[in-house]
Amino acid sequence: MTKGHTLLALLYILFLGACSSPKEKSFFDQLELKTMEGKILTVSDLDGKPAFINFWATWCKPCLQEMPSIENVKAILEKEGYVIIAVSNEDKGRIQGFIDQNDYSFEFAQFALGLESLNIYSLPASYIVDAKGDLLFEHMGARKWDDEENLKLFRSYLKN
Amino acid sequence: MKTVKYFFILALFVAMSCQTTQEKAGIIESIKSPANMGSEEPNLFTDSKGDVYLSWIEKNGKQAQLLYAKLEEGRWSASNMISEGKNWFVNWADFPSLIVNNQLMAAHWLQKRDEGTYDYDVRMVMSDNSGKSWSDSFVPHKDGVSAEHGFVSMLPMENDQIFATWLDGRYTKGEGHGGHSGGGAMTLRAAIFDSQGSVVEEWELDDRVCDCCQTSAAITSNGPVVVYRNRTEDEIRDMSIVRLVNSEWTDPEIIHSDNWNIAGCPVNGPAIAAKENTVAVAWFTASGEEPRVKLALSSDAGASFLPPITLRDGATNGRVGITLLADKTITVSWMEIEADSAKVVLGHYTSLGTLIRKLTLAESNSSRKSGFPVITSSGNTVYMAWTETGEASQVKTVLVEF
Repeated sequence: MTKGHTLLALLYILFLGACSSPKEKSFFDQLELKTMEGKILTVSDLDGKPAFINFWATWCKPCLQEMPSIENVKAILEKEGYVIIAVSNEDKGRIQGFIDQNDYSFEFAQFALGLESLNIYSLPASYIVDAKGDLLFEHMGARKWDDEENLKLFRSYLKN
Repeated sequence: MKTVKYFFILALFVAMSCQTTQEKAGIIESIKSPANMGSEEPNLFTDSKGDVYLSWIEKNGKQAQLLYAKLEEGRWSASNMISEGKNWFVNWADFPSLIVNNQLMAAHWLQKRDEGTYDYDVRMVMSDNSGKSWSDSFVPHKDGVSAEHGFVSMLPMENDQIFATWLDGRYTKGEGHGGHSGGGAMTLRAAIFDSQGSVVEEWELDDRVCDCCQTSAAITSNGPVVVYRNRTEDEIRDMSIVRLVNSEWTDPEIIHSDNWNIAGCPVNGPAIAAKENTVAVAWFTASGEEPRVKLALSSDAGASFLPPITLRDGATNGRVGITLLADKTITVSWMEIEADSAKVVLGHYTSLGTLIRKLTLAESNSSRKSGFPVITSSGNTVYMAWTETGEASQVKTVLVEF
C-alpha cells in the first residue's frame, strides 16, 4: 500500500466518522438535571432503573398537594426498582428551604432551563423514563399518584 | 440653474417635513429606568389625567422595598419609597401594584404570615397627599386565616374610594402532610375601601377559581368588571368575567370556552382594558396542547363578547398585557419563545381586532426570572416595563407612539 493510499484510507475513515450522526441524547440526559450538590445527573445515575420525574415549584399549590402521594409512590415502588426525582427551576436556596421544612425522602434536583423548552405550560408536569432515559409517559397536572390506577401504570413500565 | 437647485432642495425639505404620523408610528424609544440593578416586578398605571406611574421591587438581602416613580416630561422622576420589610413574599408572577386616584394613592404587596411557610397576606397602604406620606399598612382580607392571598388588581373609584379584587385562600387549608393538602377551593373576592382603608363593602365573586393566575380589572360604563381564570370541578380552566351592575355582581360567565383541561398551575392570567362600553380581554391558553394568545372584544361593557381572535398560535408562553389607546385602537403584549430565549411582542389592532402592526419591544428569556412584562397607555402612547435578566436583574421601560 503506497503512502498515498494510506492517506486516502485515513481520510476516508475520518470522513466517515465526521458524517455519521452523533448518538441523540436520551430525554433524561437532555434535561441536564443537577442534584442539590450541583452534580449533573445522567442516565448512568439511574442505575438501570426507570425514573419518575416530577416538575414542581414551591409556589404551585397543586404541586404541593400531590407530593404526599409521590412520597407514597417512593415507599412502594423504590423497592420494586423505581427512581423518584422532583425537579424545580427555582433558586437553589428556595428549593433547599422547602426540603428543610418538609420531610420528603425522594430526590430533589434543579433544572436550569425555561419550562417552555419542554412544552410545559403549567405545573405540575410528570414524566416516566426507562432505564435508558427514553420517554415512556408524560402528564400535565396533579394526580393522586399512589392510587391503584397509577400504581398499575408505573408497574406496567417495569414489566416492559 | 441656482433657482432650480434651490427649488429642489426646498421641495425635498417640505417632503421630509410632511412625513405622516402613520409613518412615525411604532417607533420604540427607551426611557432611562429609575430602578437600580437588582430591581424586579414592575407594574404600570395611568391615572385619569393621563399621568403614568411605575412601581417596582428592590431587594437588599432579606429587605424588600416597594418603590415608584412618575413620568414627567418624558422622564421618570427619582424613585420614592412606599414601604419596605424583611418578610415580604416576593414572587415572580404575583407582583405589587400602585394606583392613583387624584391625591389618593393606594399600593399593595404580599407579606409572609410566618417565616418558613408559604402562607401570605395582601398588605395595602394609602396616601392622601399624593405620596408624601403613607398610612400604616393593613390587610384588606378580613378572614384571619393563614393561607395564600394575592394576585391583586386595584381600581380608582368615585368619592375617593379604591376597589380591590384578589384571590383568597381562606378555604384552602386542611389536614395533610405538612399542611399542604386538602381543603377547599381558592376564591375570588373584592372590596371597596375608603381613603382611610376601611371596608365600605366586600363580596365573594367566585367560589372556585384557578389558584395561581393573575386577576385583572377595569371600569366600564356600568362599573368595575373583573376577569380571571376559572376552575371547574373537572379542572377546566378558562377565562371568566364578573361585573358590578346596579350594585349587584353578576354570576361568573365564561368569556370563551377554550376547554383547557389542566389540573395544575398555568400562572397565566388574563388582561382587560375598558372604556365606557368597550371592553377588550386578552389571555393565554394551551388547550389541546397548543399554546395561543387570544383577544375577545365586547361593546356592551362585558355582557357579551364576539368570538375571540387568535393573536399568536404556538411558540408563546403568554404573560399578556392590554391597553386601549385614545384613537380607539388596541394594543396587546405577550411573550414569544424560542428555546430558552424570548421576546416581548406588542400587537397593535383596530377596534375590531384587525392587525395593524406587530413590534418586538424587548429581548428577554422564558425563565420565571424575566417575570411579566406590563403595559399601559396615555393618549396614543404605549409604555412597557419588564425585568431584564442577567447577572443582576433590572426593571427597564420603553415607549411606543402610535
